Amino acid sequence: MARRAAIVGIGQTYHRSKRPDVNIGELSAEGVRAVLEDAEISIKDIGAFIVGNMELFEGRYQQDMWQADYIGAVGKPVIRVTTGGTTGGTLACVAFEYVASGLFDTVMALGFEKQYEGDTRAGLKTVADPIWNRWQTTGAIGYFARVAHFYMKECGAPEDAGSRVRVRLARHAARNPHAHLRLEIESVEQAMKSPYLIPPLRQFDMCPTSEGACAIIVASEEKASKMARKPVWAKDWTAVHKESVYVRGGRHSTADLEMAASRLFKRNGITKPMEQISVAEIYAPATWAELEWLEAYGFCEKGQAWKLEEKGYFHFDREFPVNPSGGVVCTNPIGATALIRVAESALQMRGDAGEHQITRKPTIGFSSAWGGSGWTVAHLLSSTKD
Amino acid sequence: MKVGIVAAAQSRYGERPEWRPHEMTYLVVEEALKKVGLPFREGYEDIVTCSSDHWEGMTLTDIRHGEMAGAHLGPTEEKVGDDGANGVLLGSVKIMSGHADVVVVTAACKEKEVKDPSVIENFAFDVPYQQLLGLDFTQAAALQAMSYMHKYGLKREDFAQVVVKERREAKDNPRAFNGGNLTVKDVLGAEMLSYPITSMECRPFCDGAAALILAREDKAKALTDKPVWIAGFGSSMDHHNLGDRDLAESNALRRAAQDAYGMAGIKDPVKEIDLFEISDHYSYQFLLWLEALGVCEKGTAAKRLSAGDLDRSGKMPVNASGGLLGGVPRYVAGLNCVIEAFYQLRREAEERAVKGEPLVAVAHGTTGPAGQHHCVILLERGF
Amino acid sequence: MEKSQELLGQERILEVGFKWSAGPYMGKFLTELRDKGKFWVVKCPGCQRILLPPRMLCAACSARVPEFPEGWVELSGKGTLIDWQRIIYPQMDPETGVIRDEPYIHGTYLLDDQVIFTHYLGPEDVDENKLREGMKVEMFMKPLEEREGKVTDIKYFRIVEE
Repeated sequence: MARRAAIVGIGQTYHRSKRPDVNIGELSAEGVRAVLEDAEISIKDIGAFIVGNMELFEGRYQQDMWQADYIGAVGKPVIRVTTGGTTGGTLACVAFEYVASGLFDTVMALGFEKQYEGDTRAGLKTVADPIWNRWQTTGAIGYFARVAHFYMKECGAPEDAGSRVRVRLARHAARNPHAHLRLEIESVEQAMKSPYLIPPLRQFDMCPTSEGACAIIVASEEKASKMARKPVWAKDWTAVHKESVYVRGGRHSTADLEMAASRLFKRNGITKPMEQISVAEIYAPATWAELEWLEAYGFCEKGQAWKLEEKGYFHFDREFPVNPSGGVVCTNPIGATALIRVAESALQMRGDAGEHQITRKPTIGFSSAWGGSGWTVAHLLSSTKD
Repeated sequence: MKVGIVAAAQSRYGERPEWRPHEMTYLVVEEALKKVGLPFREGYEDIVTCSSDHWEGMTLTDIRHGEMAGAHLGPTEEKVGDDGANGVLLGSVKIMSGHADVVVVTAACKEKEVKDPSVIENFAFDVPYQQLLGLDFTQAAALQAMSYMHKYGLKREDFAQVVVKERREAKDNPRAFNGGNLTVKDVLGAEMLSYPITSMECRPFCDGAAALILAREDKAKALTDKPVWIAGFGSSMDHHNLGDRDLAESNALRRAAQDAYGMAGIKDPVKEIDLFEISDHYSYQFLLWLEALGVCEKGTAAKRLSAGDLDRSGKMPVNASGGLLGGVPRYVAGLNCVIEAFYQLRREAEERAVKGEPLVAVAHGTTGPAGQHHCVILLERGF
Repeated sequence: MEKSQELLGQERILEVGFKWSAGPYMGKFLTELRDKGKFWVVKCPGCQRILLPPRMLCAACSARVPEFPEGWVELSGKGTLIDWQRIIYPQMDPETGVIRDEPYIHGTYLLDDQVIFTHYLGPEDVDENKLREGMKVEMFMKPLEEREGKVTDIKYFRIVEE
């Protein structure tokens, strides 16, 4: 029978570009220990594991099998769900469903990636169809260079719009001890000195590759009421996928973002998102994507995001905080990245985000995941049950 | 609230160079939907796909499998990275959570497109310990076969007879390509891969796709007058390091089966279950899995097979379809077991039907070396 | 004195061979390109949108697309330049695994006023400063003996001098 699910534990590693001191099982175990410590329960209490990462990236095959012992999953039901960049978001959805189904009282969702051990760019290139366009794929960088190009063209944004986002994210990451890149980027001028990758996209505009793990524990309403931490309620979640052609009519499409957000907003009576939602941890692999996608999700009108950014609107201590954690541009262990969005949104709901806690009263958190051929997974978390 | 299977479709398994893997997915999804009159892309809320990025040489294979199952700006889609039976499990959970009413579950794999399967399998083993030993799944299976053989005093002939039975029964299965009349001598005399496993004792690599449609009880009854309920499921993970396991036992399967039986209220599997469709990737697995499923006492499955008890016409029909040894690709494997069990309960199994009126069936899938992870699905006739 | 622990790692290259089936849709596109230098697209029988690459299912309207020749349209190989990107950041050639580091240009073209396609803009010495949106382009094929049944049988698109 269907019932409510709540996040009762949040854990992540301190994300870095390289963790040569641990193998991938040990890295995941760090995430698992962190979440168990947060929830103040033992591994014995976990009824099932939902595990995921980018299948091909580190060259390993069937990683959930390999990690079984490290993460304490031996003897338990385990399922691996891998949906690329959206993996972490999907892990959260599946964890909510496992609990909502009534079959499991307490489950753990775990996302992890050890990207330095693989060749991420090579991995990403294999997204392209080997018979059609793999020869020409420029991976994520090419894609986001086009996002930047079109955003400037269609919204009249100046070339420093992306850099402004970068300054905000750097300020946020400096207050988030778990973030990977905690660079001192204090001014737009400084950000604009970053070298071009594919103009107008600069190095600072793009996410890094990180090594890290993130885990959440989801429990039933009954169990949640007995847990150590204030439960964060899973209000709603959805996913939208698209066909496997990235660019139609010479331009990428944001139809998945629009559809996912509008579905969630409609189902939950959200008509004024920046008022009714307290914080957005959105999955944006590039600074320019944050601007375009805030508009695509419907938080603000098309062409408005860069103007609001100029006013500082999206800072953690301002009107509508976006990515107070520093976002994907500062931390990106792909299998975990989307789950980190959920985890950070939950931290905000709980009031536990320490120095990067938003100053607005947290009531509803929006988190999203993006990947594939333009897919979106989105969640609404709530600090109260109703 | 029950979850039911309302329709299914399988491709012909074998070498299929005429289609790309996602094109095969489209054909089976379309076929299954047509059987219950559900419109493509609009008749369901969720899709669970099962494919392997490694086996397709492509990251995010669910981009195309999802697209071909209708995921474009429509139903949500998730990809399970384990054997297809787990897709049925996830699909059922989705319906029970209230988040979907109808779910399409599909799996596809084209093993014949891979030139170096052993290399991929080797990468399933952990670094720095087992991988550098050059293990692949066949070698891990061989270690398990030897363990099992020694613990219970079995012989190679005991394993070889599984192949004889499976291939014989596969002749009646229009999807299987590996049907044939063999003798134990033929099987033992085939090329030795990793002692004691010969080439004939392995599931043959092939291409294929399969799909089924799950629906919530009320919807299921509206879509078909012959629903088959998913009455129980269970899954469990074993240790990864082969040395940490007692390979002669399958504790993970035993636990998974217990969970599935418990959920369905089954106390005595032998009395209450009418047939099994299990994932025998290798000959000895047919016997070892049956013991872990509680069908036979430990070490006795071989004797039961010799006595004919486990044949299609026997007291407890196991793999009346010819099993995986009859020719089913990986990932599709467990889903195919569920589909075969589904057809048996609906009396739609044609030449491979077991006799009588079966009411309860068990399907099984396994992932990982020497059966590290198992998933058991228990089905009940709903009409 | 404490010796810092050596952090041991292991290196391997994952090399797996594949033989991917092209299927009847891509297969036809590629054989026509290779053998006759012809560029085919297909019109969706349901919503009429042009599908490039030709494929089995139109995701937007769910129509099953027929195999060649029903609904297939031959394009002239000519079009207009919509956009271009100079790829500066070193890219690995996915077919060889080798980094190719010379900057090169990707162009986006509108073919026969019907469908967008991306491919190299060549030759190597094309002057980026002279490029303008709307310039006429045409497909330039590799010589017959060099073609392999791949999309790269097209060597590049080039600006048509007026």
